[in-house]
Amino acid sequence: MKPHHFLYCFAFLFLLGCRPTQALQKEHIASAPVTAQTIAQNGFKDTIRPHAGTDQLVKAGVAYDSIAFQRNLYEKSFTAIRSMLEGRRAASFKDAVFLVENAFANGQLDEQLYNQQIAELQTLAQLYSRVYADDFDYAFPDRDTILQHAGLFATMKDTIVFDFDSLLLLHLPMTYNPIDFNGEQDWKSTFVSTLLQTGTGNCQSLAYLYNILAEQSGLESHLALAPNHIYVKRSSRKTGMYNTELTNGTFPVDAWIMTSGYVNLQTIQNGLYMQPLGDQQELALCLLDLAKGYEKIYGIGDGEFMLRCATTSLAYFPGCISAKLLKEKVLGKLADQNMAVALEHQKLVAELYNSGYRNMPEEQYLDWLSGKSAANRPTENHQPFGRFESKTDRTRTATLSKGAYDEFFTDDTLAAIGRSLFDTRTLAVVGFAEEKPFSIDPETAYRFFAVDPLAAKYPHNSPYAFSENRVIDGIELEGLEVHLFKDNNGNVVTKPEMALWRSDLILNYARQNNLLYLGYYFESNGVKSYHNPDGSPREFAQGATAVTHKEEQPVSQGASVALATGIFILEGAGEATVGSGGTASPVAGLAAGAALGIVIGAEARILYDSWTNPPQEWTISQPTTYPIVADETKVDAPTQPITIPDENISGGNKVVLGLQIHLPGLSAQVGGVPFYVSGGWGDGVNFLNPKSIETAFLALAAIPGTTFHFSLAEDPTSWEHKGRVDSPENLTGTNYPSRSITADEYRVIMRNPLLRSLTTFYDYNGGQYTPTSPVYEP
Amino acid sequence: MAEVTTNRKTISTSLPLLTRQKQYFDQAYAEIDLMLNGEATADLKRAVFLTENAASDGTMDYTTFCNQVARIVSLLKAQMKAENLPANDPLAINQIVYRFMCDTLTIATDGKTITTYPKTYDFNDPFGIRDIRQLFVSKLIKTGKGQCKSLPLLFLILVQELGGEAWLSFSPSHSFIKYKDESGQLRNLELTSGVAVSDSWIVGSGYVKVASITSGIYLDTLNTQQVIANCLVDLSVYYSWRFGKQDIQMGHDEFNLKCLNRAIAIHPTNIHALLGKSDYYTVLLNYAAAKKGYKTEKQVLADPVTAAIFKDRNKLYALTDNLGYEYFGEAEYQQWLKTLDPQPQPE
Repeated sequence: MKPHHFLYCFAFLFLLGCRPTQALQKEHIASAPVTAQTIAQNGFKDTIRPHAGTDQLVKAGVAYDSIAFQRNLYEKSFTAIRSMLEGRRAASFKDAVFLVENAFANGQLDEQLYNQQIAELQTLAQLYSRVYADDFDYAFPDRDTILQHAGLFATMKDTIVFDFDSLLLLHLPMTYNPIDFNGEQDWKSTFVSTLLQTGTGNCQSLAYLYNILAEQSGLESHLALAPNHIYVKRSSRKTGMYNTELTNGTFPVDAWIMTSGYVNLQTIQNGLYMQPLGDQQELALCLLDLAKGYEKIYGIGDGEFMLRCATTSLAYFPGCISAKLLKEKVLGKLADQNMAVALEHQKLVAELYNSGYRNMPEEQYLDWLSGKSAANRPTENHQPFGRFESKTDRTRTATLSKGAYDEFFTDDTLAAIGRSLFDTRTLAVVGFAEEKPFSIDPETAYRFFAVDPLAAKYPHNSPYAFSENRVIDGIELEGLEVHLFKDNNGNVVTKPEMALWRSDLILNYARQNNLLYLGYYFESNGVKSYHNPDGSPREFAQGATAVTHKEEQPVSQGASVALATGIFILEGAGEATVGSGGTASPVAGLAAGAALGIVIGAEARILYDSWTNPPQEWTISQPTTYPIVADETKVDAPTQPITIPDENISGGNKVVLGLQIHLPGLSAQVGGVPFYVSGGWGDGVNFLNPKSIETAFLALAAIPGTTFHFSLAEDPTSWEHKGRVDSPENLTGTNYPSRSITADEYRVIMRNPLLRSLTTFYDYNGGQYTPTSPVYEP
Repeated sequence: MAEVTTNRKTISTSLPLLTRQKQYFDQAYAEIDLMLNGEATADLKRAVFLTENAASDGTMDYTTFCNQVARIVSLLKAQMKAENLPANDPLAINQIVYRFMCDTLTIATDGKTITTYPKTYDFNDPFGIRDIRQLFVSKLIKTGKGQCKSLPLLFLILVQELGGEAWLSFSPSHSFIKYKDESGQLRNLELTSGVAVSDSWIVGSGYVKVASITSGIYLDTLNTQQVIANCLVDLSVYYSWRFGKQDIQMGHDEFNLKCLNRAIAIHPTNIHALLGKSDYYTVLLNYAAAKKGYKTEKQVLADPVTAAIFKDRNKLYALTDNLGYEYFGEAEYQQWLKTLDPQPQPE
C-alpha cells in the first residue's frame, strides 16, 4: 500500500464498517429496487446451488467419440462466434466467451451456472450502487452510469461488507493469480468460468468478466490491448477516457501502461494498441482465444483451424497484432514445408515489424515474473547519438520509469518478432527463436500488472495513477481490510469449525434477507485464511499463494479431457468420460477402467475410456448407462442397485478411493461386488460442495455391504505428497483438490454416524498403511 | 466544412477590420503562402522571421537575423570539423545542434576561442501573455533564453542551415524535437531541459492520452511544410495579440480565419490551428449574439445566421474532442515544468 492511501483507506473503512451497512440493514433493503422478487428472478440464491437439470449429456448420443466430439464442438463454437460477427446471430460477448471455454472443457461447463453466477454478481453490483449512492461523491451529469460502474468495480475488486447484528457477510474481491497467470499450468486459469468459480483470475479473465458484466448491465465498456495484456477502458464526463486495471484495482494513466507494457509509440499511432475496442473487435478476440485453446489440445497440426480463426478475426479486427502473432506462429511452423507459406510468413513478420510491434525483451519480462520491477536499468546504455555520441559531454537521458523499464526501441539488425528472427535491413526472416523452457509466448503470456516502481518517490501521488486513483470515489484499493468474524456474544471466532458452523447460520440469514453469502475467513495462530462458503480456500491477501484447483492431466492423454477413474459426481449438465488413469500409476492395471458414477439431478450417460497399452491411443468402448438419482433430497436409498459390470473391472478389482497408488488389502464393497475406486485426476469432483458429497456417499452406503477405506496420509515418496488430513488443523493441507481425501469429504464422513461406521481410515508410516482412528470434534 | 465567414454587408454579425500596422501581417501571409504553394522555396528561417517581424511592426532586419544564424552555423561547422564529425551526416548534425542548444561548447575558430552556453528556459512569461515577443526565436538568439516555442524552432532552423534532418512534434501546450537515431528509430529531444527523453516520458509528463496520439495531434512528426504552415498559426496568434483589446472581439477578424484555414489545409490535424479556429467561432458567436441582443441559446438558434455560427463552433469543438484534445491548464503546466529536472546520473 502506498503511504498516501492510508488516510483514504481509513476513511473508507469507516464508510464500509459503519453507516452504509446499517443503512443497508434498516431502510435501504426495504426501499431498494433489489427486491426478493427481482433477486429470485435473477437467480440470486445462496451458493449451495441446486442441481440444474439439463440434458446435455443425453445429447452426446450413443456412439460417443470424445475426440470427434470435441473437434466438432470447436467447429460449432467457431461457427457460432463467426455468426455473431456476421450479424446472423445475436452478438453477445458473454456467450462468445462461454463458447470458447466450453469447447476447451469438452462441453463440461454448465452454462446455466455460468449465467447464474454472472447474474448474481450483477445483482450484487446493483445492490452496492443502491446502498452506496448517498456516499457517492460525483456530481457530473453521468452520475448514474458511473455509480453503476462503481458497483461493478467494487463487486470485482472490493470487499463488500453487509452487517447484520453481529454477523458480517463478506463479499471478497477477485484476485490476481500470480502463480499461473498465463495458464501455463492449466489453461483454464485464464477462463472467466474459472474466475467465477475460484475468485481468482488473470488480466484476461478479469477484464473479460468486467466487460461481460457491463454488457449485461447495458453499460459502456471497452477492452483494450497492450502486448501480453488486456485491460478495460471507459469514459466519464469528469475525466474523459480512462483505464481500469482489474489485476490490481487501479486506474493507471496511458503513459504507465505504455511504459510498463513495452508499447511502442508507433503501434499507438497506428491504432493497434491501447485503443478502446468495439464489440466486433472484442468478439474477434474470442476467436483467437478459441484457437489458442485448440492449440493447447491438438497442437498446431496442419494449422487449418487456427489459421481460419486468425483470418476471420483479422477480417473484423484489421491489424490486430494478437491475430497476426497467432498467424505468424502457425505459418512459421509450416514455413519449411512450403515456399509459398514461407513467403507469406515473411510478409507477415515484416508487417508486424512495420506496424511498430516488438517483442518485449526477455530480461524485462523475467524481471516482472520475479517481481523485480524496479531494476534500475542504467540509462547511459542508451546513447541517443550512437557512434557520434560526444566523448566529453554525455547526453543526458530521461525515462518515465527512471530506468525501471526499457523505454527505448532501438533496433539491432536482428529483431525478434513473434517467434521469428527478422533482419531489419533486408526485411527477411532469418531464423526462429530458440524454444526455451521459459520463453515468452507472445500472445498468451498475460503478465500481471507490475507495481509502480516510483511509488516510494512520490509519496503524495504517483504520476502513474490516474486522478489519484479516485476516478470512482469510494473505492479502497486493495481490499485488505480485516473484518473479524464474531459470534452472537461478540467473541471472535477463530476455529474453522466455528466458521463453518457460522456459515450455516449466515446462509439462513442471507437466504431470508435475499443476500448473497460469498465467503468467510478464520484466524488460526494469527494467520488468516479465506474461504468460499463451501470451505475451499480463496486467495485474499495480495501476494499470498493462491490455492486453486489444479487439474493434472497426463500429457499423453492428448485430446481427451476425460474425467478420472474413480468415484465422480456430476452436478447438472455435462458428459463424463471415465478412464483409468495415467501410465505412471499402477492403477493403469485396471485396463478397462473401473468407475462408479452418480449423477444428481440430470440424466447422464457415463462412458468408458480405457487406457490400454500406453502410450497408445485412447480406445472408446460402448457406453454404459448407470442409474440416475433424480433428486438429491430423495436419496435415502438408490432406486436400483448399482452394479459394475464384470467386464469393466479387471486387474484384481483393486482401487482405493483417495489414493493415487494401488494398495493391496484396502477395498470398498459395493453391492456385494468387490469394488475399488481410484482417486485420480478429474473435473467433476472439484466443483462439489459438502452436501453433494454427502449425497453421493449416502447413495453408496445404502447398498448393502458397502465399506469405505480412506488413507489420511500418503506415501511421501509418491509423485504428489499431500500430507496428513486427519485433524482439523491439517484440513487445509489438501492443496490438491484433484484427489486424496478432501477436507470436505473428511468432514462429511465424520459428521455422519452411518458413514463413519462404514469407514476405515489408514495412516501412512514407513511405507505401510495401518488402520487408525482419527479424533474429530465438530 | 461549410464556412460561415463574416459578411461585410450584414454589419450586425461581422467583425470590423483592424487596419493598423496590418500590412506586415499581410506580407508575411502572402510570402508564407507562396512557400506552401511551392512557388517559393520552403525556408523556415524566413518564415519565422516574417511572423516575428510582423508582430514587431516591421522593425526587424532580415539581414541581421540571417547573419546571427549564419554565425552560429559557422561555429557549429568549425566544431564538427574539429571533432571529425561528418559534415553531411544528419545524426552528427543533430548531435552538434543539440549540444549547442543544451551544452557548453568551447569552439576554436579564426584563431579565437569562443564559448557558447546552454540555452536556458525562460520562466518569465512562458506563454507570452504579457509580451508575445518572449516567444520569439530572435529573442532567444539575443538572450540565450527561450521556451518550448522558440527552442525547437531555432533547433530546426540550425538543422536546416546545416543540411540535416529533424522534425517538430507537439504534445499538450508543448513542442519538442524528433530525430532518427542510428537504427532509424525516432527519438525525442526535450530542449527545455536539454534531455533525450523516451516517448513514455513525454506521454507521462504531458498527460497525453492515447486518443490524441492515434489521431496524430500529438507526438507525430511535422515535416517542413507543416512547420511552416504552423507559422501561419503563430501569425494568427501574434495578430490577435498585436491588435487585440479587452473587448468582445479579442483581436480577431477574418485574417485569423485565413491563416488558420491555410494551415489546416496543409496540416489537417494541427491542433493549434483547429483550436484557434474554434476560438475564432467562439468570438464570432459572442459578437454576433451581442450585436443582435440575444441572451439565450434559444434566441441564437432561432436566428439562422447565429444558428449557423453556433453550429460551426460546436462542430469544431466536437472535432477537437474527437481528436483526443483535452485542456491542459496553466496550473497543470506549472506543475509539469517542475518535472523537467532530469534524473540524476549515476556516477
